[in-house]
Amino acid sequence: MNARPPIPLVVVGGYLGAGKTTLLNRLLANAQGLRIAVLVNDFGEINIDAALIRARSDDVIQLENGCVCCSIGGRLAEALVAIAERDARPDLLVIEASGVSDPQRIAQIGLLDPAFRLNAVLVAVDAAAVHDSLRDPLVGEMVRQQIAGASVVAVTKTDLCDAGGAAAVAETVGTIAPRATVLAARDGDMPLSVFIDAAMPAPTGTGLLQSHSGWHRPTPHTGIRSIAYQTGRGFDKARLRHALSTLPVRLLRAKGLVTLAADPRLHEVHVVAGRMRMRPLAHGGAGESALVFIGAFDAAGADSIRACMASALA
Amino acid sequence: MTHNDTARTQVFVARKILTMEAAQPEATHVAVRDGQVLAVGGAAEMAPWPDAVVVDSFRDKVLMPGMVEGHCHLMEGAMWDAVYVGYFDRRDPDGRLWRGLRTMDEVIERLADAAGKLQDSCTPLLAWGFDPIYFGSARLSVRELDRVSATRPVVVMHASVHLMNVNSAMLALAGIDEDTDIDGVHKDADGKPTGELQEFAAMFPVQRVIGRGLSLAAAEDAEAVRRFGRVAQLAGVTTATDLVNDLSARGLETLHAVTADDSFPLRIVPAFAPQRDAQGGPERVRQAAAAGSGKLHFGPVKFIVDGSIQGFTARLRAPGYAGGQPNGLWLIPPEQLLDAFTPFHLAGLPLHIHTNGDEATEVVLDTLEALLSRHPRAGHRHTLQHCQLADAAQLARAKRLGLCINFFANHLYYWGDAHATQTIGQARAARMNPAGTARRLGIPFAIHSDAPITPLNPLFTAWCAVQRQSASGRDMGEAERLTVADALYAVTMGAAYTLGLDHRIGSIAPGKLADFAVLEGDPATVDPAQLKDVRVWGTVLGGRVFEAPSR
Repeated sequence: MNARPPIPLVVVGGYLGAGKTTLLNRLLANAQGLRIAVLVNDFGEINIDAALIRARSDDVIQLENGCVCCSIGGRLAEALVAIAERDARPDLLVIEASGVSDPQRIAQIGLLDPAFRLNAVLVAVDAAAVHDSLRDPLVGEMVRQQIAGASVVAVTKTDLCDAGGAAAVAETVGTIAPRATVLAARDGDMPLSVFIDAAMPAPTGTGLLQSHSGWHRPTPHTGIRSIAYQTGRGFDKARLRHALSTLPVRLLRAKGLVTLAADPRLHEVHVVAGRMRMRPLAHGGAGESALVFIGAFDAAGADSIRACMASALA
Repeated sequence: MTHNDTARTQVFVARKILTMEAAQPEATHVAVRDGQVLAVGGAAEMAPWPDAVVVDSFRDKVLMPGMVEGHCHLMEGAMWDAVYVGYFDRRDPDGRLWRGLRTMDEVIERLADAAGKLQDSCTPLLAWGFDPIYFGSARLSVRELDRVSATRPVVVMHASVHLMNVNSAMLALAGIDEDTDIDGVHKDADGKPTGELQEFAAMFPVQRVIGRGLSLAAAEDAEAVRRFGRVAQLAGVTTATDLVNDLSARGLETLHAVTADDSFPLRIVPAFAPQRDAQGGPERVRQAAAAGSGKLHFGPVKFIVDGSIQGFTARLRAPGYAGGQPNGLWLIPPEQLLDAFTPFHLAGLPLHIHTNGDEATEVVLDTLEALLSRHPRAGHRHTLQHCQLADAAQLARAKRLGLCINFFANHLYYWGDAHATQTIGQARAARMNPAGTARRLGIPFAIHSDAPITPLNPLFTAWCAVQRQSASGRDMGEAERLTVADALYAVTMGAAYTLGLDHRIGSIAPGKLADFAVLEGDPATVDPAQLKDVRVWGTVLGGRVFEAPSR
């Protein structure tokens, strides 16, 4: 049953009022034709959230809030099992984490369970309120942890602070989450490529991939691009793991197939927020290694990715 | 059976009847008809009913009001689908005593025994109650569990319910190996998974395999509800809560069907937990209450604000955890509490609020103070649940706000040593669950088990509050001890009061429900150290006799 392609998963988190619902509604409005299932895991605001979201999608499941770590038997797990077993799987699954849960903990299911593939841990940050939240003795540490686990931080409500204030927020967030991509979300607007790969042109042509400047094509107004790395040589597993988890760029995600020096089978690799899934393809044979890196990095960043990959070759 | 002919007047004759009524604390006879008490006293007071059926099989026994467990979960009934591997003795719904397992070999042996009884070779073996805290540096790992079975998935849930150990077969099924890069997969020095899993993501694949077993949604499982009833009956309990319930249609249907049976020995008080399902709000509770029955009472609303102390997830004020561990988790954002409580408060419902750590207690006191100054409400009966680390100042505030408190007295015994040496240190541990101070302040209070977290057994819980002694015999603070009389009151009238049921249950008095615990000994005169050893013969519920299974 798990031979089917996994469901791309994005977990949206952030403290109360950070703009999670706005992000979701914007995504649903912009995602023409995509079947998006939404799991809402919020409390208090829940009726409002779910109603707003339901107006945009008929595939909304509400969950109990509560201690995600003890949800053996919890509704979130039940809902995930049910979605994975659907005949028609959605094109994208979005889980809206509650304002007090740690989104990356939920998200990791997309790095373990074969039915799901994590595409992003998207944490919304209210530009006008985040500094106060971080200083709050009751919730400051929790807000910090939410941000630290993000692969993408969406800074919302930048119109409510001046340019200096927005820059200060970007710096704060960038320090807490040194590998996360930090994007301004005007009215909840995020590039679709944050959520799914479909919006990214697929890399083709080996010559282009190997060129010095690399294959890249920035998407409009965000600077998000993808580069590919291909090689006929095998990787050293330990060094590859190390390289992928410590890439010196702010990466949205990376994915691909690799061969390892110690194991000729093709392995599927998937990297988000410094964590990865690496496992042999179920029915795969041998082949060349090819990796695609997606993120808002510049040409120098692209070069450093290539250098890192080269250093991981066996 | 005349014993259960509840429409006729019955007179129960006992060696002694403890009534929990100040005006008449002791009696020997109680007359009962249609499930209610007609009269309490001596033989003379029974004269108006010369034709009554005299039940004198309790002539050598002691009756007290059926005990009330104000904080436990139906999940206790679901746990017994799995094999018990805890450190402490525990009685199952059939009255069988499962000996506590003191060595790793004993754990393995019981698991192997249980695996041998399973027919199908791929049915997962599920166990519960394991607590590594008692095994020093020894760890349960795949190596040990693979001895149980190399092919059958084996899952051992820890007592905390937040961790589990699995064997190699389960790891393979879950796709967890040395390359798994997620939190909660414990690995050894060589980077190999040890089989210890925690956190949502790591435990999810196991959930796939075990399905709904061990689920909090036990109300939807008729057999779990029946077993819960038997566990309560064995302990002399006639009313028990299910303190996290989503009032789902299926759950309500099951609860109604099971409790309607005359042979079901328990009144159940499910508390609606908006965190399980925010839909419907107070209206949902009202509807359930309108359809309630004599054995199914609705009204309490449960909120969970923080985690647990032994799991380091409770929210503590300075100086925090003794080992400098990071502070715990909020399950509801503090600034949202007022909005969360308000509709239920305005609807006249009692709030039962889980606050383990003293910071959570403080935030909830602040919130309730704001709520009650905005919307005063006489006799609200809002209750702090657990409230384990509250200090004198907080208790004084609780008193001023008219709150009730339900303390987790069993913690003193089961985790007292861990609290003294690991979580908060001896000084704070010695004033945990300060029932003595609550008593002096005149706060209405109860004491509880939180079953299945600890065993459902109010006489044991009373013993904990009286002795304040840890499992190793450590003194957990003499100053907060209760007298036996106060402890017995707490597990009857005290708990009934927190549930708003003190006018129906909790004491033996004319007009109240004829719910009794039938005891072999007298808890009021036994050596306080032996309180937990007073044997429960069974119960009487609404005049109907329920003998516990013989042991």
